[in-house]
Amino acid sequence: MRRRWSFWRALAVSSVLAFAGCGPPPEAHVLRTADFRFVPAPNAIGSAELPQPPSGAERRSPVTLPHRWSAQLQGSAGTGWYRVALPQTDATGTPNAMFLPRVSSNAVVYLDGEWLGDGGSFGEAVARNWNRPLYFPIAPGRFAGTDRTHTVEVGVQGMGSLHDGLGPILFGPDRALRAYHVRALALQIGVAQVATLLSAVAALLFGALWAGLRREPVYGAFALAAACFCVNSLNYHVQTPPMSYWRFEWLVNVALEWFCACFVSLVLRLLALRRPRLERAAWLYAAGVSAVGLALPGPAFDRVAPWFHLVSMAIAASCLLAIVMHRDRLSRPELVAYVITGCVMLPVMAGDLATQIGVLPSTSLRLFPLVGAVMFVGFGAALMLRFLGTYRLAQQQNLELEARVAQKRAELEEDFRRLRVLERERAVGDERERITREMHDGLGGHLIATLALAEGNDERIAEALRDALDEMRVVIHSLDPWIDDVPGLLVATRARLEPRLASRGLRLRWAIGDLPPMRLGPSTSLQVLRVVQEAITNVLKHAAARTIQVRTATGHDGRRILVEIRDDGKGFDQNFASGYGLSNMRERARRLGGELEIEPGPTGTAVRLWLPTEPTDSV
Amino acid sequence: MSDATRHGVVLVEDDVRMRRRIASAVETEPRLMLRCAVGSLAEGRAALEREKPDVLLIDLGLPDGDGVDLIRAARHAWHDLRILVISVFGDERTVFRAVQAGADGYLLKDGSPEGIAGAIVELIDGGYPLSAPVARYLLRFVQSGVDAHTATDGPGAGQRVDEHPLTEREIEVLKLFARGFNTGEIADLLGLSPHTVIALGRNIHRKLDVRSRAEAVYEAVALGLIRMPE
Repeated sequence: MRRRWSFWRALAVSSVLAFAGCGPPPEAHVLRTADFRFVPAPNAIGSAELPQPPSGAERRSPVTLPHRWSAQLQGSAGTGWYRVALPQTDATGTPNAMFLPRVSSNAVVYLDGEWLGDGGSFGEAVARNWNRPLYFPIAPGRFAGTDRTHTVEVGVQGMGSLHDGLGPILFGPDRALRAYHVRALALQIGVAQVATLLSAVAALLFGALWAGLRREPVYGAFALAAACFCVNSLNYHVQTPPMSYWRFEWLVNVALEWFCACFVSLVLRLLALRRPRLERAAWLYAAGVSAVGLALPGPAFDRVAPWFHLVSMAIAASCLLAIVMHRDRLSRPELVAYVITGCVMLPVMAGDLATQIGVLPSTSLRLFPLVGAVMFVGFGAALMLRFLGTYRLAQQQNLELEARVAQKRAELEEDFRRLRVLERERAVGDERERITREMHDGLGGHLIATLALAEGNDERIAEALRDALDEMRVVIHSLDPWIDDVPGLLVATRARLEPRLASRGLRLRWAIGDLPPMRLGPSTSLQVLRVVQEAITNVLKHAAARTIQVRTATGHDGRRILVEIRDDGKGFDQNFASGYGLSNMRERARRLGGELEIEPGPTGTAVRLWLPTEPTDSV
Repeated sequence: MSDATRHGVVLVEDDVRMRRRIASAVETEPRLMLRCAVGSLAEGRAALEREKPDVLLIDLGLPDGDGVDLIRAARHAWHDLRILVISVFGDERTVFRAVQAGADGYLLKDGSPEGIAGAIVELIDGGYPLSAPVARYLLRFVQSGVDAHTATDGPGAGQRVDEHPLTEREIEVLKLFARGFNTGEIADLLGLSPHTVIALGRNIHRKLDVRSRAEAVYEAVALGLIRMPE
């Protein structure tokens, strides 16, 4: 906080110093009295010739400088002649100079009747020097004569505008006045040129931004405001406009009204306020002033223009008030920029206006271009911040969008992959169904028909046929997409084998418990089916049992399940136990990622198949 | 037993030897009476019209068409008709397809004559309320919480329904049927009479509207909407 204060204090002190340096050098004589004579020339414009001082006999009236014509000569164009006696100077051997800080609109200077210098064209269009200090060096030789008194005639060409007249005349050593002139030129003309340049750059920059971002009219409003300001700022430094004097005056005055209208639009958009009527009124006002300016003769418009400006200024002031009132709609840096700009701009505009209408002395420094430069830097920076913010937001949204697109694409790919898997499964399923149907209607039918023939004739053939049918059913059940878990396989096995168990008088004890969910592929199903089938078939063929129990259970760790086939027969057939059958079953269990346990005993045998609950379909 | 109290059976099976085998199995059972045994869909349709039997035994693979078509038509025309599919393998796909069309269950072709006759009688007595494959899929439907009715079409497709109409006891029975237990075993396990189990089975059948649901469940499983509860 302290640092900020010290910054502002330093700024204030340095600006005071800068303006303090503006006073005339002490060595110079400030001449404030003159004999004045006005030569009206309402239609004189057009003659490129230098006006000549009138002959000495005519009547003159004494005036005090700075002298404004507007009081007596309202709207009259012509040449005002000021005769001034130079103070006696001893420094005739060194270069001297004359300096006219304020002349409107152009001046020619005669020293002792001899042309000393002029401010440019006196024809159409007359050089506009109202804000340009004129400086005329006097060579040492000019005072070489014996005469100690010297007279200067300053002919001021006025166009009948409000600020026609002459400021004080400075006379003194060239060295001091030259430096003073350079400084004054920089302050009055240089600053205005910088303002023109800055506003032109701002207009182009934001115009380009607007062209790219049509949906952000705030940049467009700013670009237009900058362009209007740019035109207005030409008033302060353009000496020879590329058009008639009054056309140019009209242009720069009107540009200020349009600038205010743009400013209203800009502020409304900055604050995201919708006041279409207010906006339209501002534009209509600018248009109306422009039309009035076209209708009125140049000098008349020049006289009323300050009052129009006053209205515009009030509008601009109310805009700044609106900014303060709706400050919550702006980011902090933006708000600071606007408020500072406004606080500097309004008093300066008021001061310039006061100078223009004669309330303040005509020699007062016109600060409006300087303030304009400040404003464009302030507003431009704030708008750039805004643009950067928008850009960053857009970039962030872009990234989010990209992420979402990537996610959607991944989802789509995943969907597509799933669809392909489903498609493939369906194709495989259809093929399996076709094969199953063929086996069902063809081979199956034949086997059953043959079984019917063999039954009662040759029980061994019948048995073999039943085995074949069983085998076929095992394969078909393993391929059945509807049978995809262990209970399903056991249910199918029961349906398949129960008639045969019943025909052998074997009692089936069914003890299938709740099992953790696990899905089995066809090849796993086939292995499980074969192990169970083989275990039961073995009981059927060899065990001479009365009861067979099929039981399931879940392991303690929940990671594997048990399928147990237990009988109450005389035990395993030795051939089977030691031979191919058992090792075959073990091998199948191993391939399933499980384990086969045999618990033989005199009162029955238990075959236990342990299976992992994690699906392994590597077989 | 007079003919009037015996249950009429129409058999549709194209394989002559198989037809004879099943026919004789039916004839051994005094409560059944074989009205007609034919070998084609057209003959079967005509026999149904003519005989109006209590039981239809039908093979699916017939020379002039799919038995499922006749099952569907017969189910539509005669609500009380008991329909059994004659299957070689008893594979769930075939059985489910038949149930979907309106069959009550299936017979294995190579079953013993007593077994075949017994299955028919059990069906008539209402002892065949739920075959294990059907029970398995009804259970899946109930446990997955997906309403199979809305699973495939309509605005609420695939929405979960936390409510299903079954009681705890009915779910218990359904689970046991799904694990392959038969009516008697379930009765023993739950300490109920077999008649109660049969009645519970019928309730499940009715509440879940098995036949109309079968198709939706089939579709839902095919679309992967119903998976094993995890």
